[in-house]
Amino acid sequence: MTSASGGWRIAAADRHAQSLGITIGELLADVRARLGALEVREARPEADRQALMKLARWAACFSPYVAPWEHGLTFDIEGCAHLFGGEERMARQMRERLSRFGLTARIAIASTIGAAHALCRFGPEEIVVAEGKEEEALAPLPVTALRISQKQAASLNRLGLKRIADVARLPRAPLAQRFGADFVERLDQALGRLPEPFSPLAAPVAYRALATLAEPIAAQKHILDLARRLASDLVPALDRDGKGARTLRFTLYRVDGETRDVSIGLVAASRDAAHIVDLFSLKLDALAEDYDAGFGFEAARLDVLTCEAMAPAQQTLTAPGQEDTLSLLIDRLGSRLGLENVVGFKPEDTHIPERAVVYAPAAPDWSGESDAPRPLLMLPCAEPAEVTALVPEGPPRRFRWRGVFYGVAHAEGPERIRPEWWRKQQRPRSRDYYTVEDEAGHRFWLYRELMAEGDANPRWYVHGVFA
Amino acid sequence: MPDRLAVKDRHALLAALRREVVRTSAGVSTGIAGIDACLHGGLALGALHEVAAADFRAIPGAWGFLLALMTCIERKGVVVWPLVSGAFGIPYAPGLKSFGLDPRNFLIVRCRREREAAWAMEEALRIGAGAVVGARPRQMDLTASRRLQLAAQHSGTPVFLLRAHDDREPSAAVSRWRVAAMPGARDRFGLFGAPRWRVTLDYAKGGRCGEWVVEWNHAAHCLRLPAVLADGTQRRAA
Repeated sequence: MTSASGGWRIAAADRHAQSLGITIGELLADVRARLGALEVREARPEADRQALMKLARWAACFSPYVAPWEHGLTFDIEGCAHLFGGEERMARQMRERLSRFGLTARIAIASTIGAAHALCRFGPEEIVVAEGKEEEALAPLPVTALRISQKQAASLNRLGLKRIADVARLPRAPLAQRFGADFVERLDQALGRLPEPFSPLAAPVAYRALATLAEPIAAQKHILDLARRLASDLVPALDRDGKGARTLRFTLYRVDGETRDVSIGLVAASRDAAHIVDLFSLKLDALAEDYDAGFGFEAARLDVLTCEAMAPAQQTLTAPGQEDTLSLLIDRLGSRLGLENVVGFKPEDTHIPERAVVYAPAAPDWSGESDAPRPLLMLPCAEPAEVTALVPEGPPRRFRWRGVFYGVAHAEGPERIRPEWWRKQQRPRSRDYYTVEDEAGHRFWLYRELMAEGDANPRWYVHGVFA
Repeated sequence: MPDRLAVKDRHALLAALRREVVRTSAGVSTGIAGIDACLHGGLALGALHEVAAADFRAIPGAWGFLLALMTCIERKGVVVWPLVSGAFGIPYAPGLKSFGLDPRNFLIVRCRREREAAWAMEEALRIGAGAVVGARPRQMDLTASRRLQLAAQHSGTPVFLLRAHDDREPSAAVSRWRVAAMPGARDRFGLFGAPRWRVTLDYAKGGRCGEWVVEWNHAAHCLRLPAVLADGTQRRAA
C-alpha cells in the first residue's frame, strides 16, 4: 500500500489478493470494509528498484544486454537463445531459475520491445511470438498494454477503442492529432513499424562467451577449467577478426543470485587462452580470502572489454620473443600485485633530485644525462639530521642521523640546487648538497636547506646513501 | 652393427655431456683474477648468489657490490627487482647509472610483503628475465632457497640476493659474500675516487674462500683491486 490522494491505497497485490477482487489503486479503507482483516505492508519503491537492479545484474547470465523497467527486465536475446537451445527453452530455463529465488515470472519473447512488453503484462504467462506475428498476438490486448498514459487510455476507451485491434489499422494522422504523437509512436513501435532504441545496463562488448552449468561449481580448479573453456571459445572469433584482447572480465553467477567478477588487463594484446586463464588464476589466488563461493556458481561469462588489432601470428608461451617475454612477465606480475606496482624508471626534466625520477608503467628512453654524483639508494623522503659544521655555510664535520653519530672524514660540495619557482610548493628553498664519507667509509648525501632571513640554525637532511 | 652404432652413440653422448659440463660450469669473469680462481673460473651464470652486509650500516655498500657483480654478468637483459621497503630507501636511477646499468632495463616490482617478492622472483625466472636482484626474504628457508637456485639453474638466469646482516638461515646459494665498508680512494686532487669495500667470499661451490679489498671503477664499469700509490692513502688496501 502507498499513501496517495484520499488516504492509503493499494500499490501491489499478490495473486491470492487479486483473486479476492482487490485491484491496484483502490483505497485501503474500501478493501478493509469489503474483506475485513488484511495483511498490508508499506510499499518501498526504492528497495524494489534496488532489488530489481540486483536481479538485472544476475540475469545478465542469460544475455548481457539487460535493462530494468518499472516492473521487470527487458532482454535483448539476439544471438543468445541458441546457447539455451532455442527461445522456448530459454524461457523455460529463466522461469525455473527464477522460481528458485521464489519469484514467479511472466515471460514474453517477441521481435519488438513494445510487443514483448504488452504481452508480458497482459498476455498469457509465457509466450513466444514468431517474427511478423506481432499484430496478431497484440490484437486482443487492451490499449493500456501499449505503455501509454492513463489519460490516453481513458480517452481511447471513451471512444470505444478498447483493444489494440481497434486502433492497429486506423490511419495514423488523425490518431496522432486526437491522442498525441507519442501514442502513435508507441503503437508503431509495438507493431515493428518504428524502431525503438534499447539501452542495456552494460555497454555492449565485442566478444563474449557464456556458459550455464547443470550443477553448481565452487572449487577454484573447476572455475579455472570453466574460464579455460570460455577463453578457448573466444579465441577463434578473435583470431578471425585479427584482434587481441587487452582487458577481460570474468563474471560468475552464484546460485543465490549474487554475482562476482574479476577483471584483468594485459600489457600487450593477446589471444592466448592459456595465458589469459593463468592471469585469472593469479587474480583469483589473490582474491581467495574474500571470494565467497557460497553454494557454488551456476553460470559464467567472459567478456572482452577492450581489444586491439593484432598480427595473426599465433603467440604461445612456449616460444616467445624478447618483447613478448617482457609483456608476459609484466602481465603475470601485475595481475597478482597490481599493474601499477610493476614499473620502470622514468626520467623527469627537473634538477630537483627527488623529482628527477618517477616510477612509470612503461620504460621509455632514458635521457637524463648528468655526471654529478648521485646516490645508489634514495630515502623516500629526506630525513632530518643534526649537523655540526665549522662555519655555518661550510661542509659538515659531524652529524647525527637516526640516533647514530658519524664523524665526517671527507666531504665534497656544495652542489647548489635551486627550487623550481614555477612550481607551487611549501618551502621554496635552495639546497646545498654535500657528499660525505664517514671514518668507516660509509657515504651519504646530505643537504642543507638555505636559510631564510631570520632563521636561527640551518636545517640539514640526509637524502640518500652511496654504495 | 647395432653394437658399433651403440658405441658410436655413446661417444657422441659423452662428448655432448662434456660440452654441457663445460658450458654450465664456466663462469663469467669478475675481472679480478684472484676472485675468479676462488670461484673456480668465475661467477656461475644460472645460479643464486648472496651478498650480505657485514653490519647494518654496510647495507648500501653491499647493494653496490651486488650490482657490481651483476654488471659483470648481465648488461642488456631486463633486470627484475622486487622491492620491499628497505631501511635505506629505494634504488635511485641516476645512481644505478654510475654502475654501468641502464635504468631503462630495470623492472621494479613493488611488493607489499616478502612473500610476494619471493613469488615475483620465481615468476621472473620462469619467464626469462635477464637477471633478478632483490632482498632475501627473511622467512626463506633452505628448501625455498634451493628451489630458487634450481629455478635459476634451469633458466640460466643469475639471481643476486641481499641478505640481512643478522640473517642466519642456511641457503643453497653457490656463492656467498660478505661486504664491509672501507674508506674510499681519493684521486690525485684529494677528491672522492672509486668506492671501496672489504669483500669476503664466505662460501663458493667447488671453490675456495677468500678476502679482498676491491673497488668499483665508475669510468670503466668494472671491479678492480686498488692500486698501491706512493702517497700512502692506499696502504691499508694493499
